[in-house]
Amino acid sequence: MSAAVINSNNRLTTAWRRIPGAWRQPLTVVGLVLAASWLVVALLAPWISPQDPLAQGPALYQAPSAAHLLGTDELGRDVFSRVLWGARISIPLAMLLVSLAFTIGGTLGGLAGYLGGWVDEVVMRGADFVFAVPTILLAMAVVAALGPGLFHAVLAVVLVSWPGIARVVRGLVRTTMESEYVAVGRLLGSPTHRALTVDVLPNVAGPVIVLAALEIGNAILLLSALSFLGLGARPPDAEWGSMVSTGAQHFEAWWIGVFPGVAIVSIVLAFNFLGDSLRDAFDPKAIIKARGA
Amino acid sequence: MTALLSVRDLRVWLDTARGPLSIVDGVSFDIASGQVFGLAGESGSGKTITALALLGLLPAGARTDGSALLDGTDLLTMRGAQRRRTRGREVAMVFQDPMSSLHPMLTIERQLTEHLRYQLGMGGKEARARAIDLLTEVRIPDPEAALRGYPHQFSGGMRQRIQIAIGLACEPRLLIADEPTTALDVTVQAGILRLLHRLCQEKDLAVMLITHDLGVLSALADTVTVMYAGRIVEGGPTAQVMGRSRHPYTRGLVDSLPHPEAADRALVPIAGDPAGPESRPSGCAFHPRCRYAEASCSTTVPPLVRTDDGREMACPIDPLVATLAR
Amino acid sequence: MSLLELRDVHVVYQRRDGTPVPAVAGASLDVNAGEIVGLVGETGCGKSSLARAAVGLVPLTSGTVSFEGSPVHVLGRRARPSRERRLQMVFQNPYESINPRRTVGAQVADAFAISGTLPRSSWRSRVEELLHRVGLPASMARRFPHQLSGGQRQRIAIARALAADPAMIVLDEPLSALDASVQAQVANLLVELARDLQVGMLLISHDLAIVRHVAHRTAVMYLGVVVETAPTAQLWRAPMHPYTRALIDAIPHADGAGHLPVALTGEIPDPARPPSGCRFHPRCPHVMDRCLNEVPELVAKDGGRRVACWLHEEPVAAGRTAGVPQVSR
Repeated sequence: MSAAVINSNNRLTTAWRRIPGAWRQPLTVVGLVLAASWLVVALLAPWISPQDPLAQGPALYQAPSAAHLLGTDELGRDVFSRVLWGARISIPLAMLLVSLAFTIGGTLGGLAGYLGGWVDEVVMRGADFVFAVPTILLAMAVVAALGPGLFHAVLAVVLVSWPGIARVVRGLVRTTMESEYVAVGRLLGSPTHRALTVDVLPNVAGPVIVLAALEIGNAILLLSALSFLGLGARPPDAEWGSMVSTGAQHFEAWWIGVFPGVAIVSIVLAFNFLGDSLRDAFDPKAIIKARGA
Repeated sequence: MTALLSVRDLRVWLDTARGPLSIVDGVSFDIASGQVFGLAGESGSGKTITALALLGLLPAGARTDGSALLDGTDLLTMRGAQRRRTRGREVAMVFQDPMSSLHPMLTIERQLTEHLRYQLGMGGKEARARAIDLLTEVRIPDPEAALRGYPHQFSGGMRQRIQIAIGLACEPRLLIADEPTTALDVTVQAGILRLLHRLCQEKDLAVMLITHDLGVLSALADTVTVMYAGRIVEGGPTAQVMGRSRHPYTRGLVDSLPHPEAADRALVPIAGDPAGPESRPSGCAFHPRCRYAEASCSTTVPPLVRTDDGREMACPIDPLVATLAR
Repeated sequence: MSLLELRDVHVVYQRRDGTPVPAVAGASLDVNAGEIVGLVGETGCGKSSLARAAVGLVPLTSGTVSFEGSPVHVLGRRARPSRERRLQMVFQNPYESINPRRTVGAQVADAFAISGTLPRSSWRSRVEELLHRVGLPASMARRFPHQLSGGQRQRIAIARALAADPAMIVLDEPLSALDASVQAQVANLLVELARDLQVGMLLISHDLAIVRHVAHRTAVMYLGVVVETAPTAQLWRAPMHPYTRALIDAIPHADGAGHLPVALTGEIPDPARPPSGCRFHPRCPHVMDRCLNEVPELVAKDGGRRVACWLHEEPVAAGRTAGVPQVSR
């Protein structure tokens, strides 16, 4: 925004200035706008997409034109509609995935951090095992074992994602339980389980939310990757990953693969920006402080 | 006597999202060769930033104004190679926590000789011999064995001596010591104070001693300059500033300290909390906490006035009146 | 019988490589109601470990800690017995001992929120009372810790302890993290509270000078043992133990007179390998042959003083051998 716009005193800029500084950073705005846009698209796709994403037509491999904004694919389907509908697949699945991963990872990590001992050992060794194998390979192996399909792909990504979350939660729980303010609470007569709700939860919530935002981006990427490899979405689903895969086989009709690819990039970026700005927003010491000068 | 270091109207500020944040607000002083210049203040006073500005070690985003002439060359406008040559060679710094300012993974020998080789171009054997000399000077027992050691193997007091040795390696004209004994036990502190005293006397070394501890200043400093919220409020010979303080802040500081001779009296604290850069009051920064504050104190910044007896003071309240009211 | 009694307390930690480190090697101390006892000592003397053992945060290897006549339990997973909640602790670092994500008022109210002794409707007024007691405005209850200065936070920590209606508070270096001008404020507050509420306090500090202004009695620790205790004024006027003397002489005076404080020779030994006999003997200017072999006990002298030093000629306690800590009974 130019200085002239900021300095004018109309209602829009006054409202803008009321938003706390941490949220007014350019990247935050970009991330929020992009993510919100895609959410809107996912919700309204049936109404705003010009064509049925599964409808095959006579015009194959058409370059982008007035009739088909992003061209048509190898079966004459409108790429633009398919890209819009793709959001309806990727976003809800990613959110489902992240919820599952966080529930499993969060619970296991929390128990590990709180109980310690053998519970901690078992959970962490399990996590180590998953970490030891390259993510995509493990996901592929799981899908291969269960059979291709989006739901199995989701399970596979949950399996490779929970350890990262478990580790973070475990660390946070342990650090908090060992902190002095928990000791103070114990001295005041609080049983350890009260410390969990009162002290640990507020400290864990912030980083977990940040991680969730970042993981949604990750999840979408992994799901698309699995679909790209033919292990996730099955035809004729309008899933971005599989669309990119098709596009890779038809290089001269570049619009088939590029636009879904751009969609993936933009949404992953959006959630990453969002995650980063959430991290900054949760940090109570956002402004440079010259303490101890 | 011409001053070794002449600082004029030093300002340091940070550019933040909310506008410029003033940390040091127009500070001027002189340090002569062989003088121990005490800079006193609490957190938020800007004393450490002043020192960092002289060495070019300010955090990113900090801007400076004013001049700091070391023998005629301005430390603030130095760049690149010239600054690297000055740092360590002409001006050295010793920090508060030797554990974080000594490299934990390099041997003492490496940390000592590195400076000698880089700044003075010494060869390996010569540097090692000099390193042993330095350790002996700071009274490290068994210097040969100490060279092979790592920082974590030494006690806090020993580490501080090593830091001083590294600081003195290239025979600087000015040593800046920022809270050099704050993290140490009192018996260990006594040893470091004696060491610094001896080194000053033997080497005609100028020392800028930055600390909040008036006892340390009393033992070592020739002059004491008191900073509050980025400005100098009082300065002069140590005995005068501490024994007959004029500025209400200095007086408050001295009164709030436990006096060994006055153990039966209750401590007289200064009300409120030290002002930091973000919360600097208007006018005289000390006025919200000052017993003698008048209406004008909140609107005008009192100028630093120099008096004949080598003292300076930034408070319009007549000291005699204030003393009577005490 | 004193309100808080520590008798021959030993606290032994294990280092990573398995070597036992006796942080506290037989310390005895008493604190009564309304009395402030200062416990001073330097790095490695074990005063923090002793403080934690006194409230049950760390287990004792041997010895006893009694509060109001009954032994103090070590904190386990279950809630602390309500009787012991009248023994509270204030920690050194006000930036770490308060949860940054909860309001100040909520944390001060913890004591009665946990015990359920106060009806919920009265919580708010009680919190305001407590804040007022420590010299803070009632409006502070809604703030978060990062909005407060160090001195204010430390007052919150004290208010939090007061909410449990304590008879005794152990304070582990409560002033060290504060600015000089603020230390005096909090020190005065402690004196006031001890006097007005008749709360006993064990004040641990490395700063002898401020302890002198605050404590009625002072105990000096060196390398895990208490070497001298005395009414504060007498300790300063005529210290009996050479280490106490050395501590006092090492304090620089803020009078501008330029006197250099006296340094103590040598270094503090590794607590895992303490010197034989009297632990202070390698650094003692008055060391005698006896000091190398026989461990002096803390013995009562006139005027409520105790000292552990052969200079003051005490008979050898039967069964003591050089350097070996007492086997737990």
